[in-house]
Amino acid sequence: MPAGNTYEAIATTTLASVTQNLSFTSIPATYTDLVLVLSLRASTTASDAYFRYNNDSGSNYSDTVLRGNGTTASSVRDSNAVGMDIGTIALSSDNAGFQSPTIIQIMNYANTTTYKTALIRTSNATATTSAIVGLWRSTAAINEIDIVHRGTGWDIGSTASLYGIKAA
Amino acid sequence: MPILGVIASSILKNPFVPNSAYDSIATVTVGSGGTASVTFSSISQSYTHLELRWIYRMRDYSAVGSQAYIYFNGVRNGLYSLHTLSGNGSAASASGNSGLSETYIQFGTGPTATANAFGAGVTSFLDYTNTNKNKTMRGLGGYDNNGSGSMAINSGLIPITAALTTFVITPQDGNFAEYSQFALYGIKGN
Repeated sequence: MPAGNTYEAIATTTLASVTQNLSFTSIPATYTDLVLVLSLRASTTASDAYFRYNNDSGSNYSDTVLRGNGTTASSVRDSNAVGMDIGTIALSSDNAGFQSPTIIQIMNYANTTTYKTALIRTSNATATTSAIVGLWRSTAAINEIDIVHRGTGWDIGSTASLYGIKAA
Repeated sequence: MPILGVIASSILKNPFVPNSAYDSIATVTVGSGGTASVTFSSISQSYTHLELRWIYRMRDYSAVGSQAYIYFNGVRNGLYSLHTLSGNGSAASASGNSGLSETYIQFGTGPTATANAFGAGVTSFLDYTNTNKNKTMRGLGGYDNNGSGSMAINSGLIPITAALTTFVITPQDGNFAEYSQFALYGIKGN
């Protein structure tokens, strides 16, 4: 029988000031998967951004990227990285009010037996659309997610919402 | 709310899924012996779309990456097809396959991948109760193995006009490994 209400909002935030590290902490372990819905814009033209778990800043992340820029499809990867690629984000040089929508699927985040795999879909309508698979080489349950802009920070008005999905 | 390290505001409804419109139907988690197939049968017909969320690793197929097969209602009629856009970290490529006995769920890991690494994906089956047309599935999935990996977007034709009532998922070879998980959800229309 369906459990009902299996897709629940956990928390959401809208930035009222420039913030370098957008964090969800004390994430409950009561779901099967997490879905993170982001609408982000960098406060500068610095494009380097990533996300990571449990405040782990070690080189324990990797990802494989599939992307297209309107002319060419390509693929790149990061290995032994300090965070997982989030795709091409909107920058301060983009049109005013323009943000990049991102949905991150974090699978089986609470189990303690497997490394954690995430699927990321990001679009920057002026530049690139991306599909990314990322790996965190840890069997720890995920209880914190940090979305980090490596420049000055995420701009005012950026939003982040976290959802939980319960399996039967 | 104690959840956020930044400014907390009121909880919002999911903009993509109406409240109570997304139900868990059934979940299979592979046990210690592995399994050669995963079956969802007698699938409820009370939804508009289905979504399969999965992680898997092959126990026996000797490769870093792998793909799983899926067929429906016991039909393996050689008329399934699939188109895939994928990237392997070096190049993007596109492929198409037709005349298939089943279609694919892409990509998981194999036994030579890093221990504990699983591929993951979300595959949607649209309008699965409709009896007037063949069905379409679409998928987003992949694996990363810290130095290798593959990411795929695909779409597949399910050459069945009957309502879909049974899914059978099999590994590329042998068995799915322990902790592989397939979770089926129903999405309601209005």
